[in-house]
Amino acid sequence: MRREATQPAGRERQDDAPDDALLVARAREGDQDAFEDLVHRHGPALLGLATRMLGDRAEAEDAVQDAFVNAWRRLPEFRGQAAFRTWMYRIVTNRCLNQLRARRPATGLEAVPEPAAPEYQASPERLAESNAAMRALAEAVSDLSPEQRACWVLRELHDLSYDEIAQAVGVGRQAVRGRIFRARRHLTTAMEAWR
Amino acid sequence: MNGRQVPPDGTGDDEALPCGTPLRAVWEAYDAGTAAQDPHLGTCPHCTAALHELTVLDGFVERARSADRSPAVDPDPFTTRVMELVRLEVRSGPALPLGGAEEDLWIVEAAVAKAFRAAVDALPGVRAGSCRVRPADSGAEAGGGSVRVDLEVVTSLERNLQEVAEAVRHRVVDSAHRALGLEVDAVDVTVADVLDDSGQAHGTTFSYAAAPGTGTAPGHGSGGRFGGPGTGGGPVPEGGTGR
Amino acid sequence: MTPHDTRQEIERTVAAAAGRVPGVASLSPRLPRLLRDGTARFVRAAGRGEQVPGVHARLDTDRHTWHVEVKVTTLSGHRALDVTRAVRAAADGAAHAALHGARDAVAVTVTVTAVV
Repeated sequence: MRREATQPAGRERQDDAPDDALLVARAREGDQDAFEDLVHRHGPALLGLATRMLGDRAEAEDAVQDAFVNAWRRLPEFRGQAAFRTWMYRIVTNRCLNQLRARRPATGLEAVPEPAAPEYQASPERLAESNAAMRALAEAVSDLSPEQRACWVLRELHDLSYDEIAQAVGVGRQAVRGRIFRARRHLTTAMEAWR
Repeated sequence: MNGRQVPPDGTGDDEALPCGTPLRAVWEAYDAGTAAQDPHLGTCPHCTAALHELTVLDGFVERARSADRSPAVDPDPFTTRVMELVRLEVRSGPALPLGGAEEDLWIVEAAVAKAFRAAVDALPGVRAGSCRVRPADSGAEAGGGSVRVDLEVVTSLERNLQEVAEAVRHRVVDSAHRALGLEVDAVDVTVADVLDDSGQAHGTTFSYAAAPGTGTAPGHGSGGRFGGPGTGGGPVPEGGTGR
Repeated sequence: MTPHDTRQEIERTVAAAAGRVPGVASLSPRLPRLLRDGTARFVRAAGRGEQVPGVHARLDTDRHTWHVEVKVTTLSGHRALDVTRAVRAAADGAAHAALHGARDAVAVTVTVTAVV
């Protein structure tokens, strides 16, 4: 059975933590402390997304930082049509896609290192094996086209709905489903050796 | 490992298993949680194998999820880094007059709003959101700098909304006098959301408008709206007579 | 002394006096704008033409009045109005002292930019 769509971490309401809508209302009016709470709350997931997308933590930090600075500038126009979290996912996804499209010609497939699967498979070190499997997954994800990667990561690692993904990536709902299917097709094959 | 070939977009979507079932249908049944009920999927070796492949992937995905979604630690260097940039771009709003008109003393709207929100947040079960503060029309005529406040709050359902609005108004006026030294002409309180025990917002909007110090008991309007003709209906304070 | 020297001296003495007023957390520098080049880099340049953070003095076109603008961050627990009045008094005294007995008038504006 698939996991249930979980409540994202940012939406949990704690007694002492105002929810996103409230923080956004404050930040829109120039309250930088409220914005800091939003950055703290959503930064880790967005960094996770950007790192999966760009394959590089330092680049991801730059991308998410710029996305937040942009969001701060654009907050006065943000009227809460979407949740802040969805809005940020859209900004970060868009930024990562642009970055990947810009560098695609320079990075051919040969630039992606081959995963060192078979020898680790027999290793008695379970941790090493598990880390190697995670690396293999990351590399298989990096084989995907930017759009496939975005759709798959947003769905499988961040629980966005098909509609939210469609908005974030800028394609239709059916195209999102198709991309996720093809991404899985590739990833199941790539991870076969790790059963 | 081979299999580095990623199906390009628009191809391979109709790939069928040897039994004729489209792979995509098998996986979508898994997503929907209906795979177990399907008699064919349960017995067909091809479909079972396809489901198994996905389960294997899912195990790795689950680990990647937990690795990617660990919450920020405190202190959080990334947040600090972002805020260094954000704090360079101040949006403090217009300056509002403090003290007498001739005094040339000012305080920016964002600082006033922050003080008011903090005062309101101190009330149990109440949280302040948007807080706009602007010079009151009557303020200039009275020769002093007085302001009018529009405040949105969320509160828990079990509270009497009229009491909440009254308490909020009191906190704002008190904070204006004691913490800032700002004259408040009127406070409009809008209950923008009512939260139930689970924290779910109902999206109902209630509005309450009144001026401080008048002791006006607002009448009940229909649909949970208080304070007569909309949010702009604060009574004129004594002294601030018409033009 | 040239007007430029006078301006600098007013700004320095006013800043020192205002910074000592109880309830003042800091003087608020005018902030540089972020470069909108879409990257994480930015220039942490000093505010344009602002030698003394939080204080700006200029001589009126009448050549007899110094307009002194003071921007402060105040401490919560101190009433903002009282702090700004004290800052104005301190700034006024400091500016006159910096003028060394010149008959120029001083007009002080105080703005609270944040309460911390």
